[in-house]
Amino acid sequence: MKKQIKRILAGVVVGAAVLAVVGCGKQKQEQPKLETSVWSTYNTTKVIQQTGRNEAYQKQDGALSVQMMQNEYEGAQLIVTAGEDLTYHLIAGILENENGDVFPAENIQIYHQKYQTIKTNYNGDEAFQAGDSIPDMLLPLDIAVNYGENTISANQNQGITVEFHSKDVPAGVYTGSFTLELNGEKTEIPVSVEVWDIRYEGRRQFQSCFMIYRDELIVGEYSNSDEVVAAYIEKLLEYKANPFVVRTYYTPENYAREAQWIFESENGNSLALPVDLHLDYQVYVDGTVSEPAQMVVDYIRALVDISTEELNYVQYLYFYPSSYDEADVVEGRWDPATELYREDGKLQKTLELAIQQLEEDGWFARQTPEFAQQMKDAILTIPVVFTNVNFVEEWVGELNATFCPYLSLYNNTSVLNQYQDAAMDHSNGDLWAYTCSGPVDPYPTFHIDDKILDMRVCGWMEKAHGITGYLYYKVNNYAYLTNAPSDEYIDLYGTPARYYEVNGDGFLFYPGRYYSSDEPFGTVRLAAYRDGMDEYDMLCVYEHLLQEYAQEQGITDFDFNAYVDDLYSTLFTGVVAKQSDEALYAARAELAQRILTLKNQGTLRYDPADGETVQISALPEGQEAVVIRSEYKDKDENVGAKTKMFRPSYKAKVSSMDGAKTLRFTYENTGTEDITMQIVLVTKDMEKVTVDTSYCGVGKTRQVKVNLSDAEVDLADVAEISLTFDNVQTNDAGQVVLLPDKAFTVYDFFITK
Amino acid sequence: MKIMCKKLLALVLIGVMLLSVFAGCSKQQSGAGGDTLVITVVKLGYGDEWLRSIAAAYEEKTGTDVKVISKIGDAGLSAIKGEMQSQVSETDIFFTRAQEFFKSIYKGGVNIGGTNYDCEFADLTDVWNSVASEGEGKTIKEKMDPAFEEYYNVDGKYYGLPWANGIMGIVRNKNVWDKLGLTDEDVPRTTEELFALCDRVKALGTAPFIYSLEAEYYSSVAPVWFSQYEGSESMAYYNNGLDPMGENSFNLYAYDGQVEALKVIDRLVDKDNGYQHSISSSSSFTDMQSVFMLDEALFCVNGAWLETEMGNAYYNTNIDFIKMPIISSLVNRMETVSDDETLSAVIRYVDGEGEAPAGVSQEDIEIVRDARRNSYTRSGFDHTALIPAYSNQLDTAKDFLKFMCSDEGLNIYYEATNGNQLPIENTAGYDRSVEISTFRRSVNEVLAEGYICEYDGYVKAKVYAIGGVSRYWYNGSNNFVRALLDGSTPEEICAKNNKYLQNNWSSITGY
Repeated sequence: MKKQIKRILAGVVVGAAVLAVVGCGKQKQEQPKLETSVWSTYNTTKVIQQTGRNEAYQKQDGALSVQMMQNEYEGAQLIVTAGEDLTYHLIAGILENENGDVFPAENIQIYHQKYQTIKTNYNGDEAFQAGDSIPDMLLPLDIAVNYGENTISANQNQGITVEFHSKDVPAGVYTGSFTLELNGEKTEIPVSVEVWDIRYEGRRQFQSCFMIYRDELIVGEYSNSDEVVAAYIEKLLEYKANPFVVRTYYTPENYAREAQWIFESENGNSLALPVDLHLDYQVYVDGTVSEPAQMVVDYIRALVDISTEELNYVQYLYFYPSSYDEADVVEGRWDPATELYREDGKLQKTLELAIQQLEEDGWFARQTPEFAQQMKDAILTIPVVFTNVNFVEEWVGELNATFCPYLSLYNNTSVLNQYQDAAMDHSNGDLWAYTCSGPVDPYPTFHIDDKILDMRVCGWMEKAHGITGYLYYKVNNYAYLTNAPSDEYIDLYGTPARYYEVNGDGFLFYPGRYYSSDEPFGTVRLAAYRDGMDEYDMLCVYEHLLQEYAQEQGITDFDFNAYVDDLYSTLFTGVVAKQSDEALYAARAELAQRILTLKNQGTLRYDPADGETVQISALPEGQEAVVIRSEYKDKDENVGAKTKMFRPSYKAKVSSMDGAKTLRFTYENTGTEDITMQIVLVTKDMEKVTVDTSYCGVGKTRQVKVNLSDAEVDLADVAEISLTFDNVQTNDAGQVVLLPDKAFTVYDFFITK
Repeated sequence: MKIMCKKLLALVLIGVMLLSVFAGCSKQQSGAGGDTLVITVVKLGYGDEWLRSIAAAYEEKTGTDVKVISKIGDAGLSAIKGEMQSQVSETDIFFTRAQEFFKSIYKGGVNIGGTNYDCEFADLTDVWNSVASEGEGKTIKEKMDPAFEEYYNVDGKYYGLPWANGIMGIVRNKNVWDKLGLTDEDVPRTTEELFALCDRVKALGTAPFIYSLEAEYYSSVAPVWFSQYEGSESMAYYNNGLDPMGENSFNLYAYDGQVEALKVIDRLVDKDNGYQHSISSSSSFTDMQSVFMLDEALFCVNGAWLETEMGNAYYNTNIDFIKMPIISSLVNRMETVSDDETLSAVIRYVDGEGEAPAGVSQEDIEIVRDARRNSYTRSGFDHTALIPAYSNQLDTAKDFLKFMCSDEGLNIYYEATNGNQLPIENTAGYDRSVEISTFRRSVNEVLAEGYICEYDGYVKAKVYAIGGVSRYWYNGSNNFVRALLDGSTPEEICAKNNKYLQNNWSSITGY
């Protein structure tokens, strides 16, 4: 009987197993068993938790190696691919340089990467798929150990980020090893940290606005006390991001105190004026200064009162009236924005009011003439950040705004040129950018389903294009899910898409409270931003050295970009990053060597004048003066589709462009109309490829440099360069008519090899 | 012993069954009850009675419980959109206006509840390729109106089915028409004839047209005149996201027909011309429709839902559709027709009346014939039935949709909507004993004739579906009717659209 029962039971168990297998329409596929391995890859690569695509990563030996400036954070990552369930730990060892200096243990932080699983790839970056578990949060490993989270399931990857901070660390190469424990078995991990003798001195130049919403801290941290707010501010500054705390209890006094506290860090360089101006804002109401106008003046005054000739806080002040946010697309904001920002508009009058009240108070009279003038200039040039989704031609170059469009708009060179010119003419050179739910791939974003390489390279792009600030609308979306009831639960460690269909939008931190931490936890995304800012600062170091060198050498037409264009061209085109982690680290290392060579030897490791420059056209005398006439192309001389689409052009025959890296030429607008052109390469077979655009205002000169590394044409086949122009415009009467003639002088075309 | 074995076996089997129920599936859905088919429908102009009738018939036929949840109006659309985005809905079939339908398809894979799906909507290709009911002899795809088959076909796959099929155009109040002493000869063939008629009607003290600025449909029919002017080949370029030369560029608003269409609208709505009823700028849409149905205007640009939406109060009001007149500026494209009178004569000829006017080339006759095929515009393309990929009732949901597309389902739809027809052939023919109104008969005749401009705002060309380019002149611009009333010219509006695309092309085409 026992045997019979056993047989019955066995049969039933088999049957149950069959039932369980056939019960579901979809089954996760069995994965082949993996061997446990420890490897590394670039810190700019996000390695997903799933192991199915491990072959796609550029694997390196299981070691940690970084190169960095002084006073910088730089990270490296180890990846453990688990063949079985594992508990792990990584213990830092002693790192020593050739002089016996020890890298401070307190400057080493080890993080357990925590993953967010995305339901859908909204960003469009093909590196990620629906269902991928993508690393985001950086949880200090000691906390992960305390909470039992230092485990790795079989057939999964686990990333471990190690960050080194070279604050007060002498230059040198620090080596040693860390100990990795996997289920108690120890492995030594070689570690090398090279600290360059390079340091950024003084307060950072690149400004930023990262918004912290105080009300949402309650949801994530169970508190929005001053201490919690302060912890978020400090953390942001650590990541080279400047805070704008959205809260209601500012007073000029506590605002000034906070400004002084923020500025104790040299990363502090952006003070948000904590006043929003509503769409019906007036400077005066019934002849009296309005309440909001007086608030603006009071806050400016608060900073004026704490400023000295050594530290003028007003020079770091900016204004972001968020009621005018995205006025080009949000209904009802267009006209008020025009009124606010136009020359002699409400903003200008408000700033003039501040000057006036300081005059009346005798403040200027009490200062040295130089400081008084400096303060007046500072007040009148306070950047007033104006976010736009699209390029609005009637605004750019007309309004006294610090334009802050979608970063992607700068990918069109002629649009970028217009923003740059407008910044110089109307905004003291200030030009910002922002990203949020848009743009998406291929542009840099803070989305979880986007590569962090892009955001890191963004620092280089911003330096190259003269972008001076960046805005991000929220770092702590802890409370709101779009299209969900307001009381819907949000798992703050497991909900990647909170604002519409965007993974990661609106949050760059995770709350510390769950883990009993007094400070929030950062993310790999924020670390990428910080690292991009480090490289921006490194470029500033080099620029400063080169300026001194140029002065010594009597170089009069110094252009910093010329000395690093070759590096830029390996990293990005426009504002689209090239997808090479290796290129980033190579460019970074090369930049460091250029700095060190100039600093230590007084010579240039790379001199743009040394490159081979070849003239590819020789314009006959007189041909350089060009007139572009618009034409009718439709029958009966009317403006139809053909006339609208026709592009008159100037053509220059060129000799071979084989091997060209860049195309250069200069032109001067000698006409009465602004010029926007497309730069087209034409092959012997009449194939046309547009490689760039350019804009030049009336009476101005533009030097054009086109990066040809991505040109989708065989350069050896190019026979002609064609500069093409719009043919029609809409006149004041609303009719589409032929454009007036354009006139410019163009100088010979060159390529560099 | 045998008894003990049996008891033991019984216990173990019960345990196994419990195990397989709870352990087998990675995802369980809570909600309406294990086998109930849950359908959520947006209740708009076509109502929801037709769906409830089909559901009741399906329940009776199959014994499956069907629960229909209605969400009303624009708020209902938003609610359904939110429910779809949540990806945890109980709904097995959504009947909605899926305005991001193609965008969602292009988005590709989703992971829901730990399971990867190729698309957030279930692949319905097998439904399209099936015969809805035994004996019909044709698959649903073969029965489908070619325009809808083309619309829903995404690289050979189908993820939705249409649940409405209508037209928009110029609705005529026949009572007013007759009262004014107008005859068939007065039906305008060209837009110049239309304006001349408007002048006559106005002089007789009647409003030629009525509309509601709050929810105007001029923007919906403007593409008809755009299409008439441009012709099929050129419109094919536009519909595929190409410029007038058939190339990929930002010049999507450089088409001449876009300006010409707006010129017609401009003249119609211009207050100085007085062609619109005085309440047009201030009335709600339904109030405006009531005023029209009460014989206070001759024409109203509207859609096939008009009668359904206005309910029994105006059932069998004497209204019908007339063909939208051909845009008079079409003569610009022709070599041998240069005046409106000749154009009108050519139109008469292609309508099958009279002789071809002398001296008109065959090429120009074909231009007019091509234009005449755009006499109304389609409504209903984006009225889509779709099944969320994660539905636990996938097979039942597909079966329900097949039933809807069967001759039986089509007849239920026809009866419940007083004569509306889905764009799917009823191989058995409709029940002619069903009483349908004059208006409905007029709509069905139009659908049968097929002179419909197949234009929709939500199409699969990526520059529209993903890039977000508006097909109704909204690129960097407000509603164009409001812009025209504010003094903008058609050229200015089109130029603004084109400039917007030019300036933002790299962002738009970033996909």
